[in-house]
Amino acid sequence: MEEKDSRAGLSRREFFKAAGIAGLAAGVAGTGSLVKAVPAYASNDAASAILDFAITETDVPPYKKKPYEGAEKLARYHEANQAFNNRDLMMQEFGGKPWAVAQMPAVIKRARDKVPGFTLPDQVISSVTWTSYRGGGGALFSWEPLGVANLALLQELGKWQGSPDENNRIIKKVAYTFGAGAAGIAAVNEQWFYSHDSKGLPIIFSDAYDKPTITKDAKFIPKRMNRIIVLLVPMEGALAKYSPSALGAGSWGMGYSLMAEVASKMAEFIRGMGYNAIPMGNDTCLSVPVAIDAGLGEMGRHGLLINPELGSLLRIAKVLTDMPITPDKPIEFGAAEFCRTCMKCAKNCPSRSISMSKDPSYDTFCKSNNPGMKKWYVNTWSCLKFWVENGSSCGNCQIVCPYSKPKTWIHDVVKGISSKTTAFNSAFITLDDALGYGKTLEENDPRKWWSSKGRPERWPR
Amino acid sequence: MWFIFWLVGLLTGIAAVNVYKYIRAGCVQFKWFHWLLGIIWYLSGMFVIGFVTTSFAEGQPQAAGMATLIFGGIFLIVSVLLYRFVYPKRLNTNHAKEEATA
Repeated sequence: MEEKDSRAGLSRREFFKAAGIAGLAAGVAGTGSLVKAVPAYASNDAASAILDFAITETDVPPYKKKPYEGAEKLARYHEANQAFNNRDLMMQEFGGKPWAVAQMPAVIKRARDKVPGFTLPDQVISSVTWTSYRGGGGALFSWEPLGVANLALLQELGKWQGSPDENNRIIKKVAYTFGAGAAGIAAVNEQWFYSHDSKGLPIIFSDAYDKPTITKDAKFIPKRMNRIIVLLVPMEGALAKYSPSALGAGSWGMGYSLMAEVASKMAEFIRGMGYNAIPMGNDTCLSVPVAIDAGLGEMGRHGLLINPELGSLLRIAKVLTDMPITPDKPIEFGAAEFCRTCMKCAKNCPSRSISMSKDPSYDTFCKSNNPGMKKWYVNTWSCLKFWVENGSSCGNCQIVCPYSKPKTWIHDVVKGISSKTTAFNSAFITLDDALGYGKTLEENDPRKWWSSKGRPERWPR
Repeated sequence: MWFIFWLVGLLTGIAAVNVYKYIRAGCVQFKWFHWLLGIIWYLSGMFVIGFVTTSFAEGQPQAAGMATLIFGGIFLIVSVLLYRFVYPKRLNTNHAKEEATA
């Protein structure tokens, strides 16, 4: 017999039935809010609805807007000027040896002393994670076809004739399938291409060549290769949190290898569709400005790309092509403004190589800096010197960046709010510290990584 | 994670039906600020539960602990306010009803 509540006019059965249905509906609604929506920015189908709200498309790349200035005045950069290749730095600090050779005594000493995070297994992880990038002398980045794509089929059917919009969609689908965390397309701006490569070969855009060609005198890129596909590769934060140790560096190596895999597969895909392609890692052109042009983020205080989804914990691969593809628009989401207040990367930089001044300036710190732009220049010489003395590379600036977080609604909400107002930026940074985010080797013990049972921890992406 | 959402949804449903039941029975009459306080209480409670469970899932126990302390404190204050404003109201209404019946 049903007991009736006269006041509410509901039987007990009706009550529980109603409560159950309401509960189920609320539960479904709650879970549904986590389901990814389709955002407008270049990394379509990868962001959440909240991030979509945070991101605004713009016609002018963020590096040409405040707080930055003068990007258009930058000369094309000589790759040999980079700290990694710079002869002056080598002579001045490393006794004339390449930095990796100069680093070896510290690597050996710390491995011999069994310093946590620098032991033999840590050091081996640090080096072998680079296999796909460095293996075979960087063969995956060849300017020549690798012979993997089905060229017989291409001869039979002729090259793909999709519209530029259709090609934009296709390229992104393929990029995500290959393992990219985000992908965007930009029109080529020759200003961002190195004037010379690390060996001193000039890089020349020319109408005289139909295909990418490397001679003993120069590297020639056909002028009709006017689209650059930018592929962001996520790095594993659960490993990077041990930076600046060799174990933490495993995250960087994994990122580099994934860059090589994604870029080379993309290049082979494009060749298989009948077009030219040049896969690139860190070579041939500057990665950060082309990624910004391709609508993948803003430049931060640390001079690196900040992507709304992946934060700073990413690597950038590129593929240059003559396939007709509609370029994406640059985006902004308040990152540069956030950097003015934050300074976490500067405070956590062990070599104090990142500027602590609130606003960007024209002041450079070393000969590897390309002068002429108002930005936060980074002292890449003192940074690399620390790597050599430390016996491992460092990525503290990438892991402590408040944008480098696992993908959860909490961080998306903060990114959403900070994209629309700067009023809460200070509070967010204080909370970021109080809640214990952005910890590095100082607080994380690498021995726990090795001794914990089961699969290694991974960040939700 | 899905279970937490389902459980929260179920409890919300039970609470909503209860409130509806009492209002319909004339046991309690809410004014606009009671509703406002109730909504704030509910949202802050959901926020605390969401933050803590997400932080644990993210592998950030310190964030979960600090969130319990900071946001849980705010939730507690709102809960006390809600209790002080709404509960006496309900008692008074019941009392008045009983007097009227007598």
